[in-house]
Amino acid sequence: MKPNDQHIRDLFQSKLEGAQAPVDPAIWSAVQSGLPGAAGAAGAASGGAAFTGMTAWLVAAVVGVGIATAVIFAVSGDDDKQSPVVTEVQAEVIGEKQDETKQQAEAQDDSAASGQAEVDLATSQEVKEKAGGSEAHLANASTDETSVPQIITGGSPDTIHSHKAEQAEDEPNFTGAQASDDTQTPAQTQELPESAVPVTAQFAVVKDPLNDLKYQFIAEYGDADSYEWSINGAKYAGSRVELELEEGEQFVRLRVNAENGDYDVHETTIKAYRKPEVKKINTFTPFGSPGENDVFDLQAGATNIILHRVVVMDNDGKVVYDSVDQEDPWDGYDRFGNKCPIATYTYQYEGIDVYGSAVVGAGYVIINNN
Amino acid sequence: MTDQELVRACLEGSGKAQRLLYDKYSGQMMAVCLRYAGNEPDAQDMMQEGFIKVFDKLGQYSGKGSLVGWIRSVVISCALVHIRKEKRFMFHEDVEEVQHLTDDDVDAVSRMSQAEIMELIRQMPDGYRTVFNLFAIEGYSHKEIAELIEVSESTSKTQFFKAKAWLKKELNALERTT
Repeated sequence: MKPNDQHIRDLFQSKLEGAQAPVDPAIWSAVQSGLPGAAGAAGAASGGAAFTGMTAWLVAAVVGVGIATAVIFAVSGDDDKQSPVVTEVQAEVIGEKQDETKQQAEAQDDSAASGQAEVDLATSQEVKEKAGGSEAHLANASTDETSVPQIITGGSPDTIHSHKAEQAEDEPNFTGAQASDDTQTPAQTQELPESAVPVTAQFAVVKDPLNDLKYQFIAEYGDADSYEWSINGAKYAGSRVELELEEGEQFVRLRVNAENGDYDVHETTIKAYRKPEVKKINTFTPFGSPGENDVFDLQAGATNIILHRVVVMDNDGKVVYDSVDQEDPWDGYDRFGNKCPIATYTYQYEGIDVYGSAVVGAGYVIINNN
Repeated sequence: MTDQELVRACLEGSGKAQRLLYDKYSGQMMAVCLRYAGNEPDAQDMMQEGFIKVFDKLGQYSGKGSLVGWIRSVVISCALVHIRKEKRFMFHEDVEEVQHLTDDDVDAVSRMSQAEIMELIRQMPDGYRTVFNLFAIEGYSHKEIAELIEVSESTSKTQFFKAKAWLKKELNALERTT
C-alpha cells in the first residue's frame, strides 16, 4: 500500500523531533564577530577559513552599512502625509576623481583576486560628527525596509581602502540594500587621507511613507553636468526621479557626469514590496450563509507573508485548530469534527515575510452565526 | 533562565545571555542546517548567518510563539538564502521509471535511528533535499515552497515526488546490504 504524504510527514517529523548535532566552537566566535557592536567584524570573519562563503557575506554587509552611513537622510513621519520630506544631514564624502585616481584604481584591480572586487568604505567619521543621533535611525533602516528610506551613497576607490568582498557570480555589483538587510554590523570608521579631494555628493533612495512602491531617487553633485539613472534596466535623467515600482528587487545604477569630465558611478539593489502584513479577522460565520465568510483564512488576507502555522484556542486555552497547511483554513470545527460554539477565540500565527524575517502575531476572532 | 528572560537580557545587550541562548539552541539548529546543507562547511556557514540574523532580529520576536520555532524559521530562511546564493536549487529533471514508497519502506524508516535518517537526508541530491525538508519536515505546502524558493508549485511537487523515489531506491539498497 502506498503511504500518503501526511504519513511521511508524521514519520520524519516524529523521528527528527529535537534532533541535535555537534557544533564547532569556532561558529560562536564567528557569530560574535558579526553581531552589532562587534569590532572588526569583517576582519575576524575573513580570518575564518572554514567559513569562506560567510566571509564574503559579512564583508559585503559591513561595506554596505559603511557606505550607507556616509549620507544620512531622515524622512518625515506622520507630520507630513503628502510627500516625503528629506532632511539632509550634510555629509562630506569623497567623490571619485576619475583621472586622478586611475592609477590607484588599477592597483586595486591588480590586487583583487579572481572573482573578488575591491570595495571601498566611505568614511563615517564626519557623518557621525554632523549627524548626531541619526545613526540610530540608519541602523533601523537595515532592519525595517518598509518604513524608512533606503539609502545609496558614493564611495571612492581613491581614498578609503578597506576590504575585499567576494561577490557571487550573479551579483556583479555590490548591492548595498541586500547587504544591509542581512546584518546590523556597525559602520567602519576610518580617517580620511589628507590627499583626498572632498566634494559634496549626496545620493538617496527615499520611499514614500504613504506608498510602499513609490520611490524618489535623488542625487546631487557639485559640478554635475548630467545624471544618468538606470532603474531595473529603464533609463532616466535628472537629479531627481520619482517612480512607482513593480514589486520585487530593483537594481539601481546612477552615473553622475561632472562638467570637467569626471564621473561618479553608484549602484545598489533595493527591495520594493508592499508592507508585509496579516489582515486581522475579527469575525466569521462558518455556520451561517454558505459561501459567505465561511472560513478563518488569515493567509488570504496576508500581504507578502507566508504563514506556516496558525493555532486557534478557545477561552479555556484548548486548541481547536492547529495547522501548517494554510490551504486548509479553519472552518469553525474543532480537531475532532465538532462544531465550535459561538464565542471569542484566540489565534496565533507564525510565518515569514518577503524579506526573510520571521513574523509572529496574535488576535481574537468571534464565531458568529449572522 | 526562561526563554523570555533570555530574550530580554539579549535585547539589553548582555553577551552572557546571547551565549546562553546560543548554547541552548545551537545543537538543534546545527541539525537543521545539516539537513539543508548536506555537508558540514555549508551547514556551519548557515549556522553562522542564521544566528547573526537571530540576534539581529531578536527584537521582532513578540514572545507569542515558541522561541525555538522562531529561531528555526530565521535559520531556515538564512539556509535558503545560502542555498540560493550557492545556486544549489539545481533540480533534477531526469526522467526515469520511479517506484513509489510503500508501507514497508515507511516501516524501514521508522526502524532507523535519528542519526541514520539525518544521514539519509544529507545524502539526497540538493534539489530534492531542499523541497523534502521544507515539505516533509517543516510542513510547508507546495504553494509556500514555490514562493519560498522561487520555483513553480509543480516543480516543488515533482521534486518531492522524486525525493520519495530516491528514498525508495536508497532504502532498497540499504536493505540489500544489511
